[in-house]
Amino acid sequence: MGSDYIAAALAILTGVGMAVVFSALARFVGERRVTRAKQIPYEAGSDPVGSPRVRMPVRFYPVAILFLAFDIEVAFLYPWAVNFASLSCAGPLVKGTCRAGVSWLGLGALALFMAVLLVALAYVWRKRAIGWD
Amino acid sequence: MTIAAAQIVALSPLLMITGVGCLALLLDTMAKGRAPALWLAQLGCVAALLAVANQWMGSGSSQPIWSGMLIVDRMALFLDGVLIIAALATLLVAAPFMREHEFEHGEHYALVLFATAGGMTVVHATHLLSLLIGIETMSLAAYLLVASWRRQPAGAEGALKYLLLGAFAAGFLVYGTALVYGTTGGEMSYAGIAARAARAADNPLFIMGAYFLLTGMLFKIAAVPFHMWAPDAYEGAPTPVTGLMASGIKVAAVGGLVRLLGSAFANPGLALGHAGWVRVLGGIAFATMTWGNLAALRQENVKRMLAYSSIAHAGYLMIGLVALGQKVDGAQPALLVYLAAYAATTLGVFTVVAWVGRRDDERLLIRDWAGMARTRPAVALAMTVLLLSLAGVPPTGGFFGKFYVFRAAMQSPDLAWLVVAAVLNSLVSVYYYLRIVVAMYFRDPVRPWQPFPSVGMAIVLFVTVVVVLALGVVPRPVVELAAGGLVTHW
Repeated sequence: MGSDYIAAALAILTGVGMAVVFSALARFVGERRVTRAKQIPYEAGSDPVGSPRVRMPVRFYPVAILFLAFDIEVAFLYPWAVNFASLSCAGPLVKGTCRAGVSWLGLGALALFMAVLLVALAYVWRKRAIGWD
Repeated sequence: MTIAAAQIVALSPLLMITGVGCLALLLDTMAKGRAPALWLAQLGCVAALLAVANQWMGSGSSQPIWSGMLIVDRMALFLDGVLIIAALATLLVAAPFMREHEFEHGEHYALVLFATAGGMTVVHATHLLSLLIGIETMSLAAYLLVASWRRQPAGAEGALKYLLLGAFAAGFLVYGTALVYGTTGGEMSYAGIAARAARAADNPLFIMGAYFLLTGMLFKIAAVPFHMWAPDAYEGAPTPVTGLMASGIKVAAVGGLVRLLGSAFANPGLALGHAGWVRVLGGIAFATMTWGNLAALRQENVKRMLAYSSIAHAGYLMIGLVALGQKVDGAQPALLVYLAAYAATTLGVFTVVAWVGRRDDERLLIRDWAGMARTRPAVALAMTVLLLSLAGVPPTGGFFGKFYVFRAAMQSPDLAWLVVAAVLNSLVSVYYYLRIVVAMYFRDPVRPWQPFPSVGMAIVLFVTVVVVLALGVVPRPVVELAAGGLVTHW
């Protein structure tokens, strides 16, 4: 119990310490040459003065939304892959090996999940949300 | 873990609604026009109803599904039936409504089914995770449905409020789940929580978790003080969607609460006593029905008035939940009868509201309803019957719903004050329901009313009025069905 907290404290200390050390090094050791372009708020170089109501093509939004939806769903594959051995075993695993018969639950659950995902994909495809025009 | 075929059969109504929802979504993108998706969705509802009946006729014993994530028992099947009928009625009313107002989306039909599938998951849930998944599925579909009338700015406003507060409520649910999980030693199934509740009942974090879960659910049934989103969302939504929110979604949330409070948090150490949820819920029930009724008195917009009326009904329903916490016999079947009667009445009322409006002329103010009895006597009569049922006047289903819930609550002497308050509240509510009736019968028509021809709306209206009257004259069959849903162990 106590050692867990020591490890956590070490991790926090290291994280904070590195941030402090690097900032201090940059501040005191680093060389700085001030130019106008470096002084503007956005280092990417966009002009900070102007109307905030810039018109953005709405096509960006479907792309962003679809990316989020499918990306998050793909992330579900990782825990499934990690637990695939126990999900495919009809009984509990004994020392990592399956002594009971094969269960199709693991594969079936993912097949169902992918089927639902395919429905969504077919839907956005038919609705022409994937193309750029 | 394995899945037996019997479990899939037991869960067939839920699987059918989900599957048909997916198919309707695809069919809508492939087929010409909106009709195929609509027909598929309606057929799916009928098939799922048959599956519910088949399950009901079957063993009748409760059956845990997927290691206790879900359960199939009489209560769940009863509420499944109510939810599917609500979905079917919504589909029948929504199609002509959207055609009249020119915003027909095929997605609408799929979303109604998805919301229903979420609601069915909620009433089947015996695990905090399946409860959360059901609530979220139901709510996400509902947010979209509220916003689906895109030309209507009020719809966007209502949907945004609903979405923001709904997301907030989901946060409460998740945080409550985490606290309960942590303080019961990793339990999330209702049975497991109930088994550990005696030990955890004096742990403040566990109590906090229970109250967070309760708060999240009270948002969904629009109980005061978590009702702020309801009037705007109800008013802004397309009227058939408002009907679905007031009937199906409320029924599902109350069903979920019955399970959660009746099993996971039924422990007397948690339910009774000074800080017990019975006491708190009693106070909220009083505040909800009183505030809902008082606010409804002041509304000129019929939809907004009905929104507040639905808040008041959430208050009456919570009296049943409080009685459930007091371990009163018959509280659960009484709630089911109330829910069935209330759902039928609400669907009928919103069908009339949807029917009255024409394109670019929604006629939502009470004075727009003036003289309707002269031009359309049958519709005005139907509306009168339905409003009387909402007020709880015999011989209507609304009367027996209230009667059974109040009778159950009267068995506990602690709840007498709540029942008296509820009866007084019902008397107050008669005033604003009758305002519509007075406008229809005793005011001169301002503009003649020309309803658009719609078989679907006529069917829904006829069936709901017949059901409401039948429940008021011979309530026995439904009461017996509901009593068959009584399950003490799950």
